[in-house]
Amino acid sequence: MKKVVYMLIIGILCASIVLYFTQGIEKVSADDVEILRVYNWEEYISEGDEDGEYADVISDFETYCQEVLGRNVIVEYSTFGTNENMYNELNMSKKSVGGKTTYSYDLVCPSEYMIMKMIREDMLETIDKSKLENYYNGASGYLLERFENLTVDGKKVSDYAACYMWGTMGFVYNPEFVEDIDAFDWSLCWNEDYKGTSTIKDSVRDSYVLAIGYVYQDELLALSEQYSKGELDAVTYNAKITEIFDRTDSDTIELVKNALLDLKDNIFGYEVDSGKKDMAQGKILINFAWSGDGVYTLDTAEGAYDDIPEDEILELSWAVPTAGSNIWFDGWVMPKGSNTELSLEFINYLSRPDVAVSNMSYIGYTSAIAGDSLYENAVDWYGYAGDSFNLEQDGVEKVVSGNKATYTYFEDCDFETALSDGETEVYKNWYITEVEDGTTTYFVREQYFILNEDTSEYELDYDETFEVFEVDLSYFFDNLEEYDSASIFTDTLGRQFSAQYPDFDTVTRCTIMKSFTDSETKDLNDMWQTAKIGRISSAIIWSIIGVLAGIILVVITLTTLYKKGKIFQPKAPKGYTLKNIDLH
Amino acid sequence: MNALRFSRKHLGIPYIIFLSVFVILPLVLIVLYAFTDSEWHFTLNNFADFFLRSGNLKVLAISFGLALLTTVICILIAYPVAYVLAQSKLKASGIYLLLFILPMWINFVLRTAAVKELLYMLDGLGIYDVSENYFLSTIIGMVYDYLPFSILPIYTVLIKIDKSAIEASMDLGANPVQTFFRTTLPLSMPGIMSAVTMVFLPTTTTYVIADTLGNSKVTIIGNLIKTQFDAGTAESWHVGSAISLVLLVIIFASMLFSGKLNENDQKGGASKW
Repeated sequence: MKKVVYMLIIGILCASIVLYFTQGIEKVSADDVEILRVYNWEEYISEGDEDGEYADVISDFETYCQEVLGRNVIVEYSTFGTNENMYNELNMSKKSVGGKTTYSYDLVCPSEYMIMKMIREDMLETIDKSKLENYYNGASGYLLERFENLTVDGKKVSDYAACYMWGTMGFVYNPEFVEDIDAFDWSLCWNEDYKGTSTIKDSVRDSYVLAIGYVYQDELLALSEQYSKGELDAVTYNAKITEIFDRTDSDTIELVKNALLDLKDNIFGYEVDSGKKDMAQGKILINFAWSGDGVYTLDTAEGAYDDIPEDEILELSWAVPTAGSNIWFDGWVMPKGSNTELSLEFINYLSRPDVAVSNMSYIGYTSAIAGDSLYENAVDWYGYAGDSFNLEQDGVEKVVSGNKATYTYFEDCDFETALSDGETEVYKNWYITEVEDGTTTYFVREQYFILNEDTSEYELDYDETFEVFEVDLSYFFDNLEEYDSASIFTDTLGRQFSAQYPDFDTVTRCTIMKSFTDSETKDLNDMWQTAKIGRISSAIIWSIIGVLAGIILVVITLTTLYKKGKIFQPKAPKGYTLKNIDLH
Repeated sequence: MNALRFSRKHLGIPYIIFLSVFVILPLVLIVLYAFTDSEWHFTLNNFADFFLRSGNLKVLAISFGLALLTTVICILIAYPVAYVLAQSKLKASGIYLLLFILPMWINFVLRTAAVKELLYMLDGLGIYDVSENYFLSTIIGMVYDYLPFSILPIYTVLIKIDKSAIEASMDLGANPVQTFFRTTLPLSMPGIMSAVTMVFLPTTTTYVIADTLGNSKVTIIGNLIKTQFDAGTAESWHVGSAISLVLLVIIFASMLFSGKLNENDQKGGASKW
């Protein structure tokens, strides 16, 4: 009986194994299947969820290929944790057959400095720009132009990469304990008032930005002043800042090293990923971060992802130092030997405004794509469209009293329609512009009405008026079609909004730091290593060495003496003599 | 035909395969990388690079200092516990032992994360300062993680000690203290030595604990190696391999050293009688 059961189990196992493999074969052996191997950051694309709230971009792309292009495409999607891991993995998969180099991926999404390194090492295919219609039409012209000016070894980065997400570097801080004005200063982490409360990135490149900002802050601020006085135009100003952040001469490295050595004693620690959580839980007060992580941290601290008790909710802020900072971006590149045609199709698909919105909602970073949908998305998340405050439009009421003119415009809210839709809640927004003695202030009055089931009438449930501030994003949203104004009015300045969409002043003072050459990387790594070890007095080192040597010496002498029978020998009790006894 | 006959030796084949792919081959690769430059030419620069940098020697000293402290604390805590457990005639002693070695079954990364939370709790109560005491936190974490590894070998040796040896010592007029130092301790030396090797060597490289609890402010050899392998420059893997090789030599030397010691003690313990 037992035997039969075993046979059965083994039989089932074998059958399932055979089935599994034949299925695999069937899939692969179909002639028309094309495979696209995508290698991306972890959590860096909308992967969908059970509720269907977020789109599953990968399988949507496969469906799109099937239905629209009539192609049978399978995306093999894998992820990496750091640029360096990706680079190592890619290089390990390198194969050279008949003078042609191939790697095991078709499409990779590294950060800007890694892209430049890969261009320098001739690892990438060039992009056929005509195939990226969505990208070149959709992406912000401003960003495209900045990439157009970015070169490495005389090669244009834009010939090899299409920008996916971008942002700045700055500080996430807790405004309850940290003064806003300090957070805009590069010396924040060196500030002794905040000793032991800040973390910085455990990465040489990001720490280098921080230290450069600190040691050359005066020089940077002087440039900033020249710019604000109009003595420098935006392009020259930016070029000068870039020159400062790109310095890697030995004097600079020495300065940076000393600054980082000082820093070690004043910060809480270095982090790779834990800073987001520690910051959101209030364990630390300051975190030097990428803007995308900043948005995520701010959201987490507010309880956007988990229900957290009211008293544990933190309102954190975001600041990009006034002296200037770094712009980062992650872009899609195609390693040599890639299926470029299909890869471009994928990039083009990702650049569709609706897909870009999906990805942005899911990962919280800022897409390079601008355009109407993205603008609407930003308005939806953070505030009110600039058009709402347009005084020229119909329905604006003007009231003048003394020197003060008040313009009010309110959005229609149709109670009748809502009733027939069965909606129980409707809201009404008032846009108020006040002009007094030439200064303009903007307010929004928000009202929510809730349906009273008994009377079938809407009753006012919430009514609040607050001031909003205009942020002009016309530099980024430079391809809007339906909107006259690219401004967004928001009451959340210095928070998620500022991290997600920096204003023009902020991006003007941010540079795209160059990619270091191998020898520069080596020098910087050495510097970083020394800085991280910190100032340990040689007295401590020598005492450790002394103790270790002492222990070894003592043990050796004791054992040799013991072996020779000089010490630790049994002593005879009083009144007895010990003779040589050998039990063996 | 004869050659194909199954013998007991063949049971070792799976392990041989495993050993050669995952132990021998990597070792060969490390040696290969350590003695070559990025163009695969023979060089000793990687070692020179390592030893000529005073920072690296500092790291070596710190690592061994940290390991030494951890080991001493571990043994000081573990020995009495193991002794009491081995001596106790309680039926429950097995359960007590279980309580001590239970953490061993949980992954050390999780345990370290748990210690971090505990220390933060103490910080919240105002008893402990997480940001100031990063070195102490690292040692606490190391001791916590490696304590079971020091209790177990000592305990196993202690329960195996022949009770008649202790009785004989008592009979010959030694008081309990003398008995302990003259008989029990020497006889349990093998246990202590294996506890030392199980604690001292891993602690020099367990950078995960140093990074998690030391807020990444404590740099040990493990970090040095990891940094090299993450650096992504042409020769960084070669330098990293050289550091690994140096560490390997140190580990090997100390294994030899402790093995010798162990041997001596066992001999000594026996010849004493």
